[in-house]
Amino acid sequence: MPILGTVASQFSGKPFGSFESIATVAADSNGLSDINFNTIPATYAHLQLRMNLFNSSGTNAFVTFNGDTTTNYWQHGIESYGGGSTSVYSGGNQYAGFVGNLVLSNTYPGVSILDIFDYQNTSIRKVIKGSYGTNMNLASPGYSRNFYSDATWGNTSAITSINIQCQTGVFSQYSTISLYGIKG
Amino acid sequence: MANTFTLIQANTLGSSAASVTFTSIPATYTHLCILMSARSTTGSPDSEISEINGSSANLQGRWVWGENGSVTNGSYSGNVVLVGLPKSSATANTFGNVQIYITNYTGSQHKSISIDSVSENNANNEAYTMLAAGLWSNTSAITSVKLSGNFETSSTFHLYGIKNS
Repeated sequence: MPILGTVASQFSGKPFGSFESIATVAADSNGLSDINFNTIPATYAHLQLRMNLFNSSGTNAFVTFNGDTTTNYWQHGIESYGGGSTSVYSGGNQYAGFVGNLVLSNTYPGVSILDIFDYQNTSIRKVIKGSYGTNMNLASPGYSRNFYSDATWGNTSAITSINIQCQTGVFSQYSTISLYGIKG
Repeated sequence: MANTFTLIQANTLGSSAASVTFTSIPATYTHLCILMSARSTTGSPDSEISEINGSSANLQGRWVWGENGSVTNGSYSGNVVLVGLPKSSATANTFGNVQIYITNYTGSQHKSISIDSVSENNANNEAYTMLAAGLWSNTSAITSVKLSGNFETSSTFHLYGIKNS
């Protein structure tokens, strides 16, 4: 499992606002099976992940926190896909938080923004609020879809690391995931 | 990164509260963004933008709501429904995440409000997902926003200003 990512403390102090880049990981030609953000600083109120993902297998992406891969996650959401169908999904006691049903290609990326509020608050279980969309540029939009979703990690610990996994294959070249911190 | 996203006010509840109000909002930004992590102290999940500039007039909203395998939609006038926060019966320590985005809050046009929110229960049911479009049909600059509900201790509210340059 590659250990990637950098932390804000490694950057020199420039006059930022309340929204700061912590780290960005980009896949090279070898691709990445998963992406880790470790040693996340405790100096923010909220975290945000912004993803631009390619994958040749048509697969899913999942998030885990602090190395917890037990069945400790639930997810729910609204989905629109194909020729305009909508649905609601839910699932739980899974080993990771569901980011999205990433029907991806190496040509058309899936785009996702995930918010994790109060990631340092040990009084709450951590919730991911996310939106995701992909369009396959097909005359028949069967594999194009968008999600508005949430996932919860049934743990009140402060989040210190995030892992984003590719269920099948790898995140292909040109995939990028950026982690931001939002000050409170 | 440019200094375009700036914290204006923050509020962490040390005890439960029926409302949180951001006042004296400066006119020096282009857009406003409220990030909120909250839970209800009652059996009602509703919370809302109840007042802008001290008045509940001219507020309305339309929403789409996902819950327990179904999607519904509806509208309200007199307030903008934000979110189904986790109710008092929800799994302990589960909170909802809400983002409220108000564009051109100092402009001379009516003010549109975009809201997206999720409410978890760390269980299969009573988890809500909601998107809403709100409107304050008033051309005045926004100087205060009141959020009403039954907010639990440890709920947090952050108001940010976003500049376009």
